[in-house]
Amino acid sequence: MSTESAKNVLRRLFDDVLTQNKLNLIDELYAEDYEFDAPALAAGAGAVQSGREAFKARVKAFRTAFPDVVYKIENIVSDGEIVATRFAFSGTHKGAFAGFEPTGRHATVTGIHFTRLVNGKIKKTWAGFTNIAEVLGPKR
Amino acid sequence: MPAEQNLKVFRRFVDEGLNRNNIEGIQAEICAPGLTLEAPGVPTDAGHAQGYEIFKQAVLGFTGAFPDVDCTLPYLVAEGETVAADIAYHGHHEKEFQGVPPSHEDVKGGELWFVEFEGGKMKHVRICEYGTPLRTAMIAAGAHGAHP
Repeated sequence: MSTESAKNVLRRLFDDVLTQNKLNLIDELYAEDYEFDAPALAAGAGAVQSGREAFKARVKAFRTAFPDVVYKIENIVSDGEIVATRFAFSGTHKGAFAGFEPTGRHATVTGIHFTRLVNGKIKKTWAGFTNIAEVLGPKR
Repeated sequence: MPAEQNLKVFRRFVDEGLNRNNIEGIQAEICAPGLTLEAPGVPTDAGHAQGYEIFKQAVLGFTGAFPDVDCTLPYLVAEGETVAADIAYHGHHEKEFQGVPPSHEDVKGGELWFVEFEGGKMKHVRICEYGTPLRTAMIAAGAHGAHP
């Protein structure tokens, strides 16, 4: 897969799925045996989960916590198989998220997202947040 | 080919700066003086204003706490002036780190790094953890060590 085609898969994820909430695209962009390793959003949920439906639930949880969420790709690189994205998402923090109780604040959370593509579909994601404790934690 | 050169610089950071605990010896060669750092636990303003010094102290804190740390690069992607890396590590926790007393146990973890270069040196560094956070892993290792 060309590096540009690989990046376009991630652009559709960040723009169409995560920002515009087009959940039906997950079946198109993701492999059936998709795995992800990312910070748990809800108490009791493990970091490692799998499957398209689990990911749809994760996107819904995101939108519940940040109903007006907008994602921005700040930089993206790829070798055709791995796509690495430096991202930020902004929104109003209205629901519990990754262990942080709702603050009502408009926040911008930064992070890094790695994806491995197989046959043009997202097979695995591992990702994390950088400044989440600073922007969603108690103000000092 | 800036990507090839930047990859060499980043590998040198991992091999020499982390695995051989020599960030002080090589930092001037691999980091731009105005390096900006975004990392968990580092206030954004401080990481932008004093990134070079905070970067050094953060690396020294980590390698001091894990003197036998072994960092590898299971995934590494470079394009133009950007290097993105998955750094996997393990090492024995021998000194207090992030407020957690040493367990002397082997602790492992992983970080994602996204680095933008300028003039062959690291200029902007963003870091995040993935999987089990290091602090959680250290606490778990300590609990395990207390109940062999």
